[in-house]
Amino acid sequence: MDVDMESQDTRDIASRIVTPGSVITNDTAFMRGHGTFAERTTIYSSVAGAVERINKLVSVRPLKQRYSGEIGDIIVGRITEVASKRWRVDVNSRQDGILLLSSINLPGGIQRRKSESDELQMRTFFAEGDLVFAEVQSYFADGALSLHTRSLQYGKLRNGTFVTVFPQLVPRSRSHFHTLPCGVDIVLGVNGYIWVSKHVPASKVEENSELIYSDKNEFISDDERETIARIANCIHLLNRLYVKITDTSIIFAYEASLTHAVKDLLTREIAIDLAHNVKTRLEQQS
Amino acid sequence: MSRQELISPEGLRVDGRRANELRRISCRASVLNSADGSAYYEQGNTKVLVAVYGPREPRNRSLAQQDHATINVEFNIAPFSTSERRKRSKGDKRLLEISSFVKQTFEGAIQTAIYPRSQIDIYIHLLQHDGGTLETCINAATLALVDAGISMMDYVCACTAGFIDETPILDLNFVEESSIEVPNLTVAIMPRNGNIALLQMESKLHSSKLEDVMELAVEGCKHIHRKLDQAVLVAAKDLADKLSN
Amino acid sequence: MASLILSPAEQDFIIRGVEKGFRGDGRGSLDRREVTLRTGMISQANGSARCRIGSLGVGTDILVGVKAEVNTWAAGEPEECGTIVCNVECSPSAAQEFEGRGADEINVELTQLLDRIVGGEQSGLDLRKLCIIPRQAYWVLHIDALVLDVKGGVADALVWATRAALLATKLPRVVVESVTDDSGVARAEFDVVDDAEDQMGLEGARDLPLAATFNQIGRRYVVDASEQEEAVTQAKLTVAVSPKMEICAIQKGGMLKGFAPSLLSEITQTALRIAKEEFARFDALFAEASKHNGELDEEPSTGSTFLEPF
Repeated sequence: MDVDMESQDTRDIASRIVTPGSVITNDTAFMRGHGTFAERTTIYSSVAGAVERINKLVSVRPLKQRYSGEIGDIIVGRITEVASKRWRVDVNSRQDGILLLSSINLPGGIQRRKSESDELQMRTFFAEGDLVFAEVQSYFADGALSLHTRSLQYGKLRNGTFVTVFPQLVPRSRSHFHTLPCGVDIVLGVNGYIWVSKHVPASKVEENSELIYSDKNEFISDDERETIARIANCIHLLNRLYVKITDTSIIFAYEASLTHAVKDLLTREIAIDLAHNVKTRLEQQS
Repeated sequence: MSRQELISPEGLRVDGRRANELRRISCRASVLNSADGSAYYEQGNTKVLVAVYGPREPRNRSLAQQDHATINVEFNIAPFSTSERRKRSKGDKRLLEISSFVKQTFEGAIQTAIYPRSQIDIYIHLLQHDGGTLETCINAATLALVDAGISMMDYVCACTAGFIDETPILDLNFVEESSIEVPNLTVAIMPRNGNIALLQMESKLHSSKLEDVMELAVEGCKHIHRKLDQAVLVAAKDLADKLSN
Repeated sequence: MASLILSPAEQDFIIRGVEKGFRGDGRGSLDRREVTLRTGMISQANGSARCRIGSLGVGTDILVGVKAEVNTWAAGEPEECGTIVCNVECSPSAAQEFEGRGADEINVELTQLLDRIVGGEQSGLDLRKLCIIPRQAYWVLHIDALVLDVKGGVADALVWATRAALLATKLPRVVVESVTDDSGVARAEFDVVDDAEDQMGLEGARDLPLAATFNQIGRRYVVDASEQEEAVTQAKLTVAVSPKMEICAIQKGGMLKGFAPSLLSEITQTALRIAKEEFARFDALFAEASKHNGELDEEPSTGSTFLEPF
């Protein structure tokens, strides 16, 4: 195939919006990826979305979908059940994730004793309702995600508030933990679960490693509470107006929001205005 | 109502339509913001609202299937939906029957094998009843499932058709459906290859007439497919535009 | 209520925040979230309304349909009045646990709540005007509510939607005649006029109450709790206030603790204080909703009969 014809294919195939049952291509050179299925030599779309082409792999990315995990994903999850030597975790996906006792970080000096597998002991680490910052380690045979919190940055989340967004708005990136200039920490789970909290220096965490399973919050000042609420509202409005959620877009939203009261950020007109503002700045940046 | 009144000498039905005319369809996806997918669908005066959740962790883990997703359908008829107000119990036979038909229909269209050990919930509310319950439920559910990003081999489009005297008619309203003299059937097809996903008939129809009625119904389904696809594209383009920056 | 489980750290964050005057979304303790109201979406019903209370399109979402039917009077029933029957049903779209019979308990609780507030004379509606012929026939108003989503503040959305639906309700006119039969006995007969143009609103609908629910969190209380605030609520009180600034109904919810009596009087005073603002807000929204009523839909979208996706 000469170069011209190949670029013709690209133009024809990629970025088209397709719907279930639409023909993507009849060309047998292509292989089918996510969001497609094949019948004889034709590849069809199985979802509504944009066609993507990477070399010979053709797939369709649906514009809305529940999170499906990949190894290495940084996520936030909520413990739903304490079982024997493991926890079930809601990760906003088609199945709960699993956090094995052997996959968590035990504070220095504690030996793994048999009694730790008692359910009562399990709850001293994580109990139902706790939010965890974890990484996807692998898959179980049935497709469920296996999580781990084996480094100090991961673990139980405190000192803040939880926000849910569309997973497709959180791009995968090198870092999902950010300290924002306004003095607030955010964890952007690729699964659409986000944590906004008071900034706690990393050094403090390392010094007090036995507190990593504590349920107690630090003292949070009024200013910090207001900033946390402002950031949370910014994330909400970015989500509802379908803007990508990154530390950059959140910072832009925060800056633009300062002329409004925190509670007003969730009113329709102001939210639309701010999202538009953020998108303009993002465009200028790129 | 006698036969003569259902279709006038000029060929107009009680609501002014011609024999092969579909009722006006109006539909929109993404109307319930907490659901993974949702749709609001109107066909004439029949109005349906559907919420789809999933694929997600099954509520009852023991019912989970190892190699594919289970589809769970719950269908409710709002008490204010019929001209005579009526509250139905959750175990009402008619409700269960429709839930069951919808479930079976979509089991053939959703690619359940790519979502093992999970559940797809389809919650349907009939808000106003003017004939074509099963047909509108299927059409609305299709829209909601596509909105949720659930993989399907094709749309599922349904339509009713029947006979008044010797005339095949398309898309029966409540009056026509209720008339015992009007045989009617509901057909659902997957438009890409025309495969029949559902076929249900509730009255006697001479076999010689079946072909005509089927043909008409399938035409209706194809038209509905275009309407649903339009609604999906509108919603998809909207999101794609927002995301493109 | 639909169970949202929060971690101890989240709960503490919310409770301390509320006690210091900081709600999670920056609202003041008496601030209500955005309310969206639409009427007339169920054309076959005598009246209908949809109310959503929440932020940016996500919130508690309730659809109410009102259907009026003529009942034949039976001995033991009120002789010169019509009746109101309430029914609330929660959809599994609001919470997975509402599937099947899972919502039975909450349906009963909300039905009783609605009934307490609008189910009789206390609603402000003139039930006498619903009588067609004394000891013979009367109107029954069936108020059926469908809860589509629960994100805190269900009771309030329920009452707001019901008030809107009843205000939008139109009854056909009834003509009552005296008919004398062969033996000279005069009887009353009625005829319901089947004319869409010849309909009347409900007498007294303007006197219908609105409700505000106060949730006790820690040592303070807030109005219109969010889903997360509901999860840390110790006790709550729903207060219904009429436009004439009378308290029509009070209902306590929440299992955990009791209310201090002094708090009760403080809350009812606050309910009266904010009532004026609430009614003004409702009236503005209702007027806006009425403008959309009966608008013709041009193309695939039905945004005018159902709320926009945003």
